[in-house]
Amino acid sequence: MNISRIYHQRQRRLTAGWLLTLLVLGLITILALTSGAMELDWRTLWSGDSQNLNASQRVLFHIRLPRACSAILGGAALATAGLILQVLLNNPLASPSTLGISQGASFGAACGIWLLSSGVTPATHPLAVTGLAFAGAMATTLLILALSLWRDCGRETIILAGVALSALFVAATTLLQYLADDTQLAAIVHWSFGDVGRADWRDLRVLGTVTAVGFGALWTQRRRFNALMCGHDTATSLGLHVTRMRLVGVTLVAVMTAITVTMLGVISFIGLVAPHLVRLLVGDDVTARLPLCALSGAILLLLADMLGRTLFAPLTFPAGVVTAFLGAPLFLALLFTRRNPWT
Amino acid sequence: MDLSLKQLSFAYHAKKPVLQQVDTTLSSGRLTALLGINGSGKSTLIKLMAGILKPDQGQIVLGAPANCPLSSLGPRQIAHHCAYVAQNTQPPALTVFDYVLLGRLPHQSGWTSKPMPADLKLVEESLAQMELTPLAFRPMGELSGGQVQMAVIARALAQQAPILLLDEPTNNLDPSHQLRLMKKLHAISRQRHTTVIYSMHDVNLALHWADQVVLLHEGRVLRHIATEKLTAADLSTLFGLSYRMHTAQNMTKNTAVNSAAEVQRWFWPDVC
Repeated sequence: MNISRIYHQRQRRLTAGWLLTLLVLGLITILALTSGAMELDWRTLWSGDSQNLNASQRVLFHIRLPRACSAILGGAALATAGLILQVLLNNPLASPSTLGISQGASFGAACGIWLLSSGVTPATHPLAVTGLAFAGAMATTLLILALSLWRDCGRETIILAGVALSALFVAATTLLQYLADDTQLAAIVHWSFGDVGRADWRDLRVLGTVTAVGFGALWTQRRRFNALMCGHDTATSLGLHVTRMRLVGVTLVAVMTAITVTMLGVISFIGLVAPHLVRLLVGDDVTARLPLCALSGAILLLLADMLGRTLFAPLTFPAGVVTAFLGAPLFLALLFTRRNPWT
Repeated sequence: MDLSLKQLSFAYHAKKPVLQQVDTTLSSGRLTALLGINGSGKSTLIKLMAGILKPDQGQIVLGAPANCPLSSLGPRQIAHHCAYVAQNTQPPALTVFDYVLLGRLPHQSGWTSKPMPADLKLVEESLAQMELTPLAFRPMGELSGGQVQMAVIARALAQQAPILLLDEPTNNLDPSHQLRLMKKLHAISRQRHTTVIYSMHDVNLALHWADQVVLLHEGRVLRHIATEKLTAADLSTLFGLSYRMHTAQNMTKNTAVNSAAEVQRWFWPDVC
């Protein structure tokens, strides 16, 4: 039995799997770009100049393409964040939404809208709203991290702390909605919908940079993440600075999540479902899971957005609503059809 | 590589010291058994030697060629010197090969820690040593408890450290695998000149292979002696039971390197 040969064969098969998933993502992207209320005229798409865009060009470059890019980048960022949180906190239930990070951002944004906008022109300080949403996500993450490090509390405790923080932020946001006037209320509710159609090209540049840098940094640590899954003692004996790695990793993931939630709103379940779907295919190996997870997160959010736009056309639903509706039953199915429980 | 423990004290909670003034030297290329009742500090002492815990007082000094206190080294440098097998391991759902490959992590440099052909070869050797070659690409979750334990030890062997620290290494192993594992550890200590330190509750299995024995009682070293000098009285004091020693002429260690002890000794407690 030539073990090295089998190892290399397996690595090649894995690369082929990544490329195949990338191809699937490409095909779904094309499908997403071509589907919608307006039929694109492909003959006129490449004609004319950049100053005077025709209707098809405007729909493609200003609506559908940024929307698809948002879904791809946001889905990839949330799925990657979910996977790495699960590894770092050694908890299969960790994700930006179960730990209350998304709800923290939502509360931050609600504070921004309520405190800084006048009743007539909601969100007159969009940067402040974005900044407060980011601060809300980061503060929640750091609180979760501090709790996980404080007296080394168990992994169930972390999730329960996340549930408690989520409930707290939801209650606080509801209070702000109660206190807000009609215009502010509409702005707060609209912000809380996870919608990939919200980001423009400027937002996408930020989201793209953060996702790419974050993913690249996490990719360099993929083998160390495998060691981290062996538990604190074994990981330390394998030469890892466990606490430092957790701190840096969670901060990186928090930035990725915070930027995504700030740009797109609350999109639940992608960060929880995508890592588990991929886990069914390739097991716990982070090296295999990381690219597959990012790609499947992108595919899931792109599909959710497409479904929201086309299923009840001309009525459209934000992607966040679709992911919540489809993600919950999908996750339950994953939970209860598994042979071994995730404990 | 020798390992000197100098006035070592440790407590998880301020008022409950687990180890107190532990002072001894564990010799290079020898097997040392740590014996003691539950809660006597065996696992804590092993974790201190592996650099997982930091002592409250005293220090651990690595012998030649390192000649430095363990506290002066970072986790990766410690991992070059000490490999550790935890008492109860729940490994992730990697394949056996990927899991054993983690043992090469401290030796892999660069941003991506990409394994080199030499790393793959060492993993292959460690798998063969632990008789895991046919299971190399099976997921860890599909292995029996004993096979998982063998994979955990294979990972520690792949680390190629001069000091091997094993906390109850025969957990989950059947008697046949227990003997085969101990025989392998014995051979490794002789061939690679590895310092092997293990804790174990099976007194006779532990003593059969050990060159020296450290008796830990309430966090202190009761005795540190050569195995053949251990008496039933020592064990009676350690475990609070009345031990008797039995001997047999026809049992010898099944290895040419250590054939000195031709008379096999057994210790049995009197059943109340």
